[in-house]
Amino acid sequence: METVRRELFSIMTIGILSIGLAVVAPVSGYDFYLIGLLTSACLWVIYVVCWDLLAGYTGMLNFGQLLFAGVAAYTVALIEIHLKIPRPLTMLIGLLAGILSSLLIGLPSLRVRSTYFALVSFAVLLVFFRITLTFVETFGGDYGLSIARVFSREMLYYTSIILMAATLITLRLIVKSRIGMALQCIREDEETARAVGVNIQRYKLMACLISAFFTSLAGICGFYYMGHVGPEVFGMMGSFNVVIMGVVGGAGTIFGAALGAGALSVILEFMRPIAEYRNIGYALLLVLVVMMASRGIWGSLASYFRK
Amino acid sequence: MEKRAGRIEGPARNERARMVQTVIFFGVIWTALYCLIAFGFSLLFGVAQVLNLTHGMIIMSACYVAFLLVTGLNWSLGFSLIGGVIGSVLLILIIYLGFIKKLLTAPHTSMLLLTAGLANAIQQIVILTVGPQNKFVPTMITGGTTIFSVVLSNQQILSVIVAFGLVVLLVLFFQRTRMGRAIRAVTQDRSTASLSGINAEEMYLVTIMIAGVLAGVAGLLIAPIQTVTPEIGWEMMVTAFTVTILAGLGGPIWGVVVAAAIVAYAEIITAFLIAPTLKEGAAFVIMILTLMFRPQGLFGKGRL
Amino acid sequence: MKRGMLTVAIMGLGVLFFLAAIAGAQSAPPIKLGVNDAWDYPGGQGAKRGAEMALKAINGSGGLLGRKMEGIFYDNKVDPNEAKNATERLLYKDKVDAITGFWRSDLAIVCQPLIMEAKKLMLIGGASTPVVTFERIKQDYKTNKYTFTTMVNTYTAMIAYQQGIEEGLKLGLNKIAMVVEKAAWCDPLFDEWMKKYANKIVYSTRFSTTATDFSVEFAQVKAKGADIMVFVTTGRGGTPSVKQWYDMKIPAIYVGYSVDAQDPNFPQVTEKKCLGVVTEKIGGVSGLPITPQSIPYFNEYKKVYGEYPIAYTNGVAYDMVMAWAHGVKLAGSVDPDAVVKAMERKNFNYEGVCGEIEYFDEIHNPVGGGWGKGEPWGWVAYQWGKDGKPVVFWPKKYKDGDMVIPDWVKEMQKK
Repeated sequence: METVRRELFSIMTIGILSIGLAVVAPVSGYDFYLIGLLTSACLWVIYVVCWDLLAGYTGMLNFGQLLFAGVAAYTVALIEIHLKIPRPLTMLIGLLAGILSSLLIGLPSLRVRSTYFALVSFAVLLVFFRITLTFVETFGGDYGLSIARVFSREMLYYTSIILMAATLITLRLIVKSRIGMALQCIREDEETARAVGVNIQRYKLMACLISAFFTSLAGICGFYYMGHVGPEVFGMMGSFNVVIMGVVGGAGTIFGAALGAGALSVILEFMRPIAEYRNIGYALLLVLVVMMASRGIWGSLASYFRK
Repeated sequence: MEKRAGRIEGPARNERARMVQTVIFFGVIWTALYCLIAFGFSLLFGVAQVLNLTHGMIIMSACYVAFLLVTGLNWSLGFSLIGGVIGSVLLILIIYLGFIKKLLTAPHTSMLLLTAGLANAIQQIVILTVGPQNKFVPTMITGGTTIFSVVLSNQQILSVIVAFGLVVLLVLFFQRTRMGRAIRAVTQDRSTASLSGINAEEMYLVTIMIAGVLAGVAGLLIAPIQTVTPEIGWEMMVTAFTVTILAGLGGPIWGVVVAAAIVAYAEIITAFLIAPTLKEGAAFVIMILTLMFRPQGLFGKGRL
Repeated sequence: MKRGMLTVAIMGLGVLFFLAAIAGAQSAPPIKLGVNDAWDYPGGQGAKRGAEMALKAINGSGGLLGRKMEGIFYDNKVDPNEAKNATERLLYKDKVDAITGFWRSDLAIVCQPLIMEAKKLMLIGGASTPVVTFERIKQDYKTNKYTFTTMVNTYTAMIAYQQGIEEGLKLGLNKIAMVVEKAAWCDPLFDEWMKKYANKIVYSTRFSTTATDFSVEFAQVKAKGADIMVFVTTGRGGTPSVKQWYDMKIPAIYVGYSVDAQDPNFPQVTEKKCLGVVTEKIGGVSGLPITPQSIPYFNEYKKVYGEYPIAYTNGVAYDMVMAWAHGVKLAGSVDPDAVVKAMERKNFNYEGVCGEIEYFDEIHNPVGGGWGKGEPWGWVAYQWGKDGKPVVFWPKKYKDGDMVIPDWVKEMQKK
C-alpha cells in the first residue's frame, strides 16, 4: 500500500489518459476507422507492457509473447464454434488456457539462461504455428477460425481501454514494489539473487503468469474485435514486432514499453500509404536502437533529463 | 498355399526395402546439405561466440547475386558462381565491420536482436529490389545417377562430395596450418593469444571471411535443388541454428556432421512414418529439447 | 542561417500543399477505388497490378462517368489484422466507392463483413473460397449482395484443375498418385477427387504448404507404380517439385495445379525441366488470344512492368475492376445499390481480357465466353510444350493441341 501511495501520480496519469482515449470515440462521431485503430493500439500496449515485465525486468527476452494471446484466442474460438456455454465461462476457460501455456516457456526458463530462453520461446511459438497448420480440421488451417460479430465496436473499444489501464496500473505497482526489485535482481545476476535469498523459481513463474494473464485477456479481446483468429498469431512477425516496440520504446520501464507500442502502432498507421517500406523501417529502427540507444526512447529521454 | 502367400509378400517386401534405401540415401544428401548450411554459422559461433542470425540471409544473398549475374549480366555459370560467393563474403564483412563488431562486448541478447533486425532488413531489401517471384541458380552438373535403384541427381551427389570435402579441409586448416592454429588460440583465450603476438582482430576477420565463403558455397549448391525466394533466408537460418546448437559450442567439426545427420534423419523419418506436414516441426522440437536438456549440445565444451 | 533555410523550406512545402489541395478541390471529386492486397507475394502483386492497369485504362479513355478515377493502395502483408485496419481506413477515412484486392481467401472472409456493413462493393480479385459467395450470398443476400468476383470458387475451379487427370485417363494411364498440399482451400478438392477416382488411386499424401523437398513423397509415388501424379500447391513447392520430378525420373505425368508453373519464365527457372508439366491458368493473361483484348493487354503489361503477367490474379483483378466500371456506366452512378442491380442484369455483356462476362449468376460468379454456368470462367488447362510454350488443351473453344506424355516419362514407364 506504500507503493500505491508513491505511485499515485502515475496511476492518476494513466487514469486521465484512459478517460481521454475513451472520450475520443463520441467526440469523433464514432468514426469506425479511428476506433478500430485505437482498439488495436490498446491491445498492442498490453502485449508490449507484459513483454517488458518478462524481458525488461526479469531478463527473460521473450520472442514469443503472442503465444499466450494465441492460445487464449484459439480456445475461445473453438468453444464459441463448437459448444453452447455462457460467454463469461468461455472467456474464463480461454484465460486459463492462456495462463497454462505460459508454463511452456516458464518451466524452460528455470533451466536456461537468457539467450537460450529467447530461442526456446521462439521455437515454442513456431511449434504452435505448425500445429495450427497441420490439424486443419480442428484449427481451420491457414483460414483460421471466424465467428460473426458478437460485441459492438464501442463496447470492445471501451473494454480494451479499461483493460489497458488495468494492465498498466497493475504492472506499474508490481515493478515498483518488492516483487519488482526481486525481478530486477534476477535479471542482473541470478547467482547473487539466490545468495541473498530470492526464490528465483517462484518469481520467474510469477512473472510468467502475470504476463500471460493480461496478454491472454488482450488476446481474447482481440479475437472478439477481429471476429477471427488464425495461425499468424503464432507467427514470427507479430511477436517480433512486440520485441521491436518494447526495445525501441524502452525495455525495463513500463511506460517506455507502452510508449513504444502506442507510438509505433499509431504513427506507422499514418505511414500506411508507404506500407511497403514499413517492415524495413521497423527492422532498421531496431538495429539503430540496439546499436545506439539500448535503453530505448524512454530510457534515453529519462537519462537525459536526469542529468 | 504357402507359395502363393510368398509371392504376395514378395513385391511388398521389395517396396519396403526400396523405401528404406530411399530414406537412407536421401538422409545422406540432407545431412550433407545441412552441414553446408550450418558450417559458417557454427564457425562464427565457436570462434567469436557470435550468434549471427543474418547467416541465412547471407546464404540467400549468394543465390540472388549469382542469379542476377547469370540473367542480368549474362555471365557464364562459373563466373556467376564465383560472383555469388564474393557477394556473400562482402555482405558478411559489411555486417561484421559495420554492426556486429561494435556489439561484441554487449550482452548476447543484444546481438540476437541486432542480427535479427538486420536479417529482416536484408529480406525486405531483396523483396523490394528483386521482387518476390521465384528465381533460380543454374545447375552445375546435370543428369542423374542411379544407386541401388534410387535415382539421385548429380547436383545432389556433388553437394555431398563438397560437404565432406569441406569437413576434411576445415579440419586440416585448423589442425595443420599456422593461421588455423592461431584462430584456435584466439578462441581459447583472446588475451593470452595476443601476448604471443597473434592479432586477434585479424583472426576474427579471417574467420568471418571463411564463414562467408562457406555460406556462399552452401547457397549455390542447394539452390538448384530447391528454389530461390525471399523466404529461404529464415528457413536456412532455423536449420543452421538447430544443427549448431545440437552440435554444441566449441565442439569438433565432425560434431556438426553428426548433428546434421540427426536433424536430417529425424525430419525424413517424421515425414515418412508420422505425417509429412509435421516434418518441419521436427527441427523445432529438437531445438527445444536441446536447449532445455542439454544446452551445451552433444559435443560442446562450454555454454554461452 | 540553417534555421532560416529550414523555415523557408517548410513554408515552401506548406504553400505547395495548399496549392495542390486547391487544385485537387477544383475538379469534380474523383471516384475512389480501394485496393487491399499483399504486395510481397506474386499473387497479391498480380492483383495490385491488375487494378493499376484497370485504372490506367479507365482514366486513359476519359474517366468513369466523366470523373477521374483514383486508386488508394494499401498493403496488408497477408495479415488479417492489417487487412481489417486497411479496409476500415479505406471505408471510413478515404471513403472509397468500392474495394478490390483480396487474393487470399482468409482475408476475404475477414474483411467481407466490414465492407458489407458499409454497403460498399467488394470486388474480389483472386480468393476462391466458397464462403464469401456460395455460403454468404445465398444465406443472406440482402447483406452480402455487394460482393462480386471474377474468380470462381473452389468447387467450380475444380473442374478445370482435374482436366489433366481426365486427359491422362483418356491416354490410357490409370494409376493415380495424389500429392496435395495441406491447406484449407484445397481440402474440398482433395476430398472430391479421392471419391471420384477412388478405384484408381494407388497413393495419396498431404504435405505442408512451405515444403520444398519432396524426395520421400516422390519415391513413394514411384514405388507404388503410379503413372499419373496429381500435384497441387499454391506455395513455393511448385518449382522444386518439378525439378525433383525430373531429376528423380519419376515415371508418371505431372498434372494438377501449381501457381509456380503459371510463371511465363517457368522453363527458364526450372532449366527446361518443366516440359510436360500440366497446370491451369487464367487464359487471358497467358498470352493466349481468349478475346481480342487479351494479347494487347499482355503486351501492354510487359511494357509497363518489364515482364509478362505471372500470377492469374492479375487478369482476374483487371477484369473485376473493369466489369464494375462497366456496371457503373450501365447504372449511370456509383450508388452501390444501383450498380448491383446493373451488374446483375442478364445481358451485362462485358468483354474483358480473360473472357466475356455475359452475366453474373446468383452467387455473383461470372458466366460467358467458352465457359457456361457452373464452369470455371477464365481458366484454361495447358501443358508446357516441347518448345517451351504452353499448349492449351481445355476448354474446347480455346484448344490448340492435345496433352501428351513427355518422352522421357514414356521411356521410364516402359521399364
